[in-house]
This record gives sequence, structure tokens and C-alpha cells, in this order.
Amino acid sequence: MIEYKNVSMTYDSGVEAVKNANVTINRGEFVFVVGKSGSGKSTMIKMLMKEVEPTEGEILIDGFNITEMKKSKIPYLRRSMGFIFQDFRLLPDKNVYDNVAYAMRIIQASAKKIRRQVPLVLSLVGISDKAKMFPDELSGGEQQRVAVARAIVNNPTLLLADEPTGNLDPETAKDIMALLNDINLRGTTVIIATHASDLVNEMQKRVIAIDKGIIYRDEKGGYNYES
Amino acid sequence: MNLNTIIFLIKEGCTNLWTSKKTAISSLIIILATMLMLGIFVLITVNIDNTVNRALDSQGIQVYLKDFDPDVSEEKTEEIKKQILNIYSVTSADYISKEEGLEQMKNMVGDEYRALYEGLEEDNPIPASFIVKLDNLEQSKNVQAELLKIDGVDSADINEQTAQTLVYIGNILNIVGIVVLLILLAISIFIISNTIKITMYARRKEISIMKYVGATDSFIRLPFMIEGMLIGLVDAILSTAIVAIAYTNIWNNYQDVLVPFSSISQELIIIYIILGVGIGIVGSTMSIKKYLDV
Repeated sequence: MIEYKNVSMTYDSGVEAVKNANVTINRGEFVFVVGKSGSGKSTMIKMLMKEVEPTEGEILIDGFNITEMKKSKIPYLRRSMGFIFQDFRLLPDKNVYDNVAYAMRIIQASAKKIRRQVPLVLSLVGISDKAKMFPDELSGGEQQRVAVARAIVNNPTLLLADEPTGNLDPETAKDIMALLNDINLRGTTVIIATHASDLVNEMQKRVIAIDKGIIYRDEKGGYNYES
Repeated sequence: MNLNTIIFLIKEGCTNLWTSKKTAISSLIIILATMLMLGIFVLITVNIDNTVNRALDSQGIQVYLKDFDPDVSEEKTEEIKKQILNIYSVTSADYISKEEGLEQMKNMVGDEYRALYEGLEEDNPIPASFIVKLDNLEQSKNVQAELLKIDGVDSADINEQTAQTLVYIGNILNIVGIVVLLILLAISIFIISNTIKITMYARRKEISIMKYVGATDSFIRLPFMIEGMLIGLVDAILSTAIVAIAYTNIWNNYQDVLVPFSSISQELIIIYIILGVGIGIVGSTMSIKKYLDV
């Protein structure tokens, strides 16, 4: 369970990205955080991965206050999560297989386990045939599939995505969203920051809408749904 | 960290080196240039030091003996020699008989005045003497005093000024050596950490991705350290080879003045390896810190 308790975040520049957010996300939920550019939705995600720190309030994951966490412990927190970014963020000098295997090597998985798990995940995201290819030889959609594979290879309990379809055409975006939905059905909590209204409307999941740092709506429905 | 992970990280270091060949080669060349400069400097210092030491070695104390009855002198001189060798910091005492002394004198004055000494063999005025050598010229005054206490010693002459000048030169050389070495070392570290910083900057995105996936700082740092270490090691080998070949060529022409390479090769190789590997590790560790903060 994730809890934002009276969380505010102001950047050094003075921009108030999040103002007094109170949100609870249960294990296994699928949540969209929606809003315009600069609304604060990405900051909500970044605080969970500890890329930025809240200036006020606290964030709890399974009852553990991550705002008080030591810097040296951040890598271990991140290992319990999977991340997907708009720009894929794959290691350019590694092929598809090694990009995914890298996440397992970090947690010091055995060579045997890596050989078993990586092909499994690659087939799950539908890119088994591209294992030997490098990121720059793949389409945007394929690259994002690799990123998804990397994000789920260690079976995280939480999957965070920041504009995962931002660089993809509508058809591919739909496929990626379906993939994320599949992952959620396996029990992983999925939180997606996006402004892709079509997809949000289509999926009919929980939507947290944020504008100028203030959460003004939090319920199941579509992007533009007004109660 | 388990063995599998360590092997993986070493492989990563080697692969990174290969994929960033251009930067690696430019670092390699810059470090090589600095290390060669260092090597040349070490060789110059060793040779000057050697020359000073040789000059110091040739400085001895000339000890003249009282003229003895030729029949007892042999026994007596043996005893005097024993006493001289017992003095602190004396390394040798070479006996010069009256005859040898006269011969040396003749040679010293040259052909022109040689005739003056002809015929003196019968009633040789030159006393027998010892050339006493010391391991530390700074002790020469004390040794001189001790020598004069020995029964049978008439006088003990030291060339005090030369001795002091040589000791002085030796000390100055040591200080200059350390200062120049430190300056060169600082320059090397500066250049290398800058070169690695450029590599790091080019890879900052990669480093941030590693951090997002949950890599610890040491997991990210180790391949970079191995990369730096490998560059340093290759540089150490290249520097040793270049210096050895170049120096041996010069030495072939000036064997009587220069120290042979074999007598300093071990030290130089050790210095190069410690320096190359050390600088590689320190340089990469220092420069990566900034990019790990993601």
C-alpha cells in the first residue's frame, strides 16, 4: 500500500509542483495520474522513486516511511519497483537481452536464473525475436517493450510509468497499455502518469487528476469525466 | 558481491573500454606522455645522484703515518689498519707504502718535475699512508679526530670544502627531486581525472539509467575503476618499454658515465605500475562521484 500524507513538493526554482497531496493506493491497483504538462503528475511518480524529495509530508510504502530513507538505501528501494519512461532509457551499448539481464545482474541473480527468466520476459512482451538487436535498431514501440521487460524482470510489486506512450503512435501506445494491464492482472500495482486522454478513457481505471499541484479529482472513470 | 557479479563487472569494464576506444586511446596517450616525463626525470635524478655518490666515494681521508723503522712497520701498519677500520662510518682503509707514495707523487707532478724525485728511492722522504673512505662524508671531522688519536698516525688530511659541497649538492638534489616528482604527480592526476570526467560526462545518461534500475554506487563504479586501471596498466607497460629502449640506446654510448638500466628497471617498473593503476583508480573514483547523485 502506498500512502501520500500531506505531501507538498517545491522545486529549488520556487515552482510548487505538488500541494498537500493525500492519496492512498492499494496493492494491485491500476492508477492513472493525469494532468497537463507541468501539472505535477510526474513529480508524484518521481517522489515514489526518490528522484526528488517532498518538501513537506511523508510517503509510506507498505507502512515504511521512504522520506526518511538513507541515500545509500535508495538502490534497494528501486529494486522493488519497475520504471518505464517516455524516452525508454535503454543502455545503448547493450543488446535487448543484456539490457533486460542488467536489471537481474544488479540484484546478483545467478547466471542460471538470468538465462531462464530473461527469455521468458522477452516472450511475455512479444520481442523474443529481437533479443540480439541493439536499441537503435528497434522501433519506438519495440524499445518500450524492452523497457517494460526490464521493469518487470525482477517481479516488482510496483510498476511506475512516466508518460510511457508519449513517444509512440496511437496503435503502439494501445498495445503497450494492454501489456501494462496484463502485468497488473498478475498482481503488480501499476501507476501511470500520462496525458493520453484516449487511452485513459478507454481503460476506465482509477484516475487521479492534478492541476497546478492540486489533486482535484480521484475516482474511477475516464480522463475528462466530471462527476 | 558474489563471484559471478565480480566477473560480470570486470567484463563490463573491458567491454566499456572497447566501446569507448577513442576516449580510451586519448587518455592512454596523455597519461603515457606524463609517465614518460616522469620516467625521464627519474632517470636524470638517478644519474646525477650516482655521479655525486661516485664523487663522494672518491673523497677519502689521507692518513700519513710516522716514519717507522722498516723492520717493524709491517706489523705496526696492520695494527693501525685494524684500529682505523674500527672507527664508526669508515668503510675501507687502503695502505699506500712509501714506495707507492713516491711513485704516486712522481705521477702527480708530471714529466717536467719528475727528475726532482729521481734518486730518492734510497732515502724516501714520503711517509707511508692510508686512504680512508667513509660511508657518510658528514662524519669526516669526527673520523679525523679519531684517526689522530691512533698511535703511529702523524696527520690526517681531509678536503673539507669539497666534501661539504658534495654533501650539500646531494641534499639539494634530493629536495628538488621530491618537489619535481610531486608536481609531476599532481599534474598527472589532474590530467587523468579530467580525461575520465569527459568519459563520465559522455556516459552520464547511462549512469543515471543504472541508478534508476537500482544499481548501487559500487556496482556502477567498479567497471569504471577497472577501465581506469587497465588504461593505467597498459600505460605502465608502454612507458617501461619506451624508456628501456631509449635509455639503453643512450647508455650504449655513455656506459662509463650512466647507470645501466638493469640497475633501476625494477624500481621504475614498480613506480610505473603503482602510479598507472593508482592514478587510474583514484582518477575514475574522483570523477564519477558527481554523476552518481541521481
